[in-house]
Amino acid sequence: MITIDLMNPVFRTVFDNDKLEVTEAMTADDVIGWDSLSHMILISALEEEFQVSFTQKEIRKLKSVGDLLDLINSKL
Amino acid sequence: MNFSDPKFLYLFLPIVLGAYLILPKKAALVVLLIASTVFLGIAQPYYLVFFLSFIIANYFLGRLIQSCRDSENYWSKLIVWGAVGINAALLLLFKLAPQFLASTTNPLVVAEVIRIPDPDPDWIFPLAFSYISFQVISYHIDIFNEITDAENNLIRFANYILFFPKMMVGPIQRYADDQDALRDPAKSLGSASAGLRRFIVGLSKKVIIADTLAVYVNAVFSFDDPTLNTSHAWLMLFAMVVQLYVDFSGYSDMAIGLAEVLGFKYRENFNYPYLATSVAEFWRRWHVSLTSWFRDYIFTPLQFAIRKQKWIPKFLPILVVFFLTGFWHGKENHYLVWGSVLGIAISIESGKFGKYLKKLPVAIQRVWTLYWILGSWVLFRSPNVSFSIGYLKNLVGIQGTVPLRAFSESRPYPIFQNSFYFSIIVGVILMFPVSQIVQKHLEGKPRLLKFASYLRDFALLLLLIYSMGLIANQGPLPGIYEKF
Repeated sequence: MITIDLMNPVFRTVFDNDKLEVTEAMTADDVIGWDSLSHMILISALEEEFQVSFTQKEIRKLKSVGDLLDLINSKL
Repeated sequence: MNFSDPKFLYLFLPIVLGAYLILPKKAALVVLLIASTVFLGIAQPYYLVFFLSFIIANYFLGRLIQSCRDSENYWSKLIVWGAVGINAALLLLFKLAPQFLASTTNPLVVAEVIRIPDPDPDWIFPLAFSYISFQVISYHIDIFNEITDAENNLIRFANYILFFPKMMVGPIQRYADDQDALRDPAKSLGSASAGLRRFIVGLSKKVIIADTLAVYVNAVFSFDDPTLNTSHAWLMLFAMVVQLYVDFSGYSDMAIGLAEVLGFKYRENFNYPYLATSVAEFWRRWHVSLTSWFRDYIFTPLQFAIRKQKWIPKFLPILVVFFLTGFWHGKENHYLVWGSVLGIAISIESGKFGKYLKKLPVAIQRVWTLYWILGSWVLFRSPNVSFSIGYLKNLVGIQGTVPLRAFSESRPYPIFQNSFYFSIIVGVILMFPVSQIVQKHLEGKPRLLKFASYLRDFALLLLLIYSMGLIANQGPLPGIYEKF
């Protein structure tokens, strides 16, 4: 079981922003630079960090950071 | 028949709207389907059987994908890939057919099976098929990915595919966005009047601004050589850029407005692209229904597939997507180079340079963006690549060995009338969210707001009358995006 705090460093590295504090309600619109390319970089970084593997179907359904957290936890 | 055609405005639209608004809701979809079939049939009656079989086949393919998507086995993947492949192949076939039929060496022509000496691409390409095929592909993939369920009513499905407001220039609708309206179109006087206002705005943009500029722009961009003096080249570049935006966004306004009148709420297709501070952002704001389609169905799956292959550069999917965007617009080299140039610009932005760019003053970011966008529009609008290279040389004053020539009798060119400059100025204003700014200033001032809404409706009425006068005078000009 991981928490949002464990995801934060990955987000900070991907979006190159040391002050970023992610919350479960956050969406791509709330983070500067979260576009389709950085989204996929984030996905691979999270896969590597937490040793999980996503499918395209799962990724298409994500709407918020909270969904992403739930998805990772469902695979641990 | 386009939206500014008198036949559409004075005959087709009043009959359809009258029948649609008077008849009960149950009959609404049948009225719409008949209207869309007539709209299609007037343009290309010989393709009605093709579209009928296309709709039936894709309807059952959708049902089939739904029935096997849960198993996620080899067969279910084969079926969804097959459905996508067939539709993509049809699009490719129709895009390449004119060239194939024109070639004197192709076996069908040699054997005299078909004899078309000078095939007309407008005749061969099924109306709106670039938009329709992309819609159907998104439909099948979304069913497979459980974003939506397959439609279980053929009439509703046929309306999703052949809805006349989106037939000329899109937008490319996702089924998930349309499914509620297909079940229960939100017919109301409020949405009908809001939609009509939007339609008049679009019609005025197209007829008053874009078509005025089109006379000049079409003349310059159909010369056999692009030699202009530098100041004229810049002036015509601005005219072309304004025309392209006003023409296409005006058409989108008309489509979105008509859909709203009929109870369908569409997403915006333009989000003030010239406010963008990067080329990538420009393309997230321009023709949103197409760019988001490419993002969801090509870019993301490709990027996902290569995410663990560290040796493949991250920008490769960007290049692929923009090359395909170019091809979607046409197989001609200038479209392919146009798409590739945009792909290169966005690839550069996706690396370290992009991060550096974001730290520079906004003015510099805008210059960078406009540099690529304006340059790429020259490629887009030119008849071929060599013309655009010549035109770009004009812009910087290096025409090479070709002497600088003014317009002459052999190169007829209309004298710039005041309406030309007026159209550029108004067109540039339309590129910025002026109405939103005005609306914000009026918030909390109900009396002023009411006065402004009367003023707006009066202005729209005048614009409608003026547009109708212009249409009666000059006849409808086809939209730039109709040919795609």
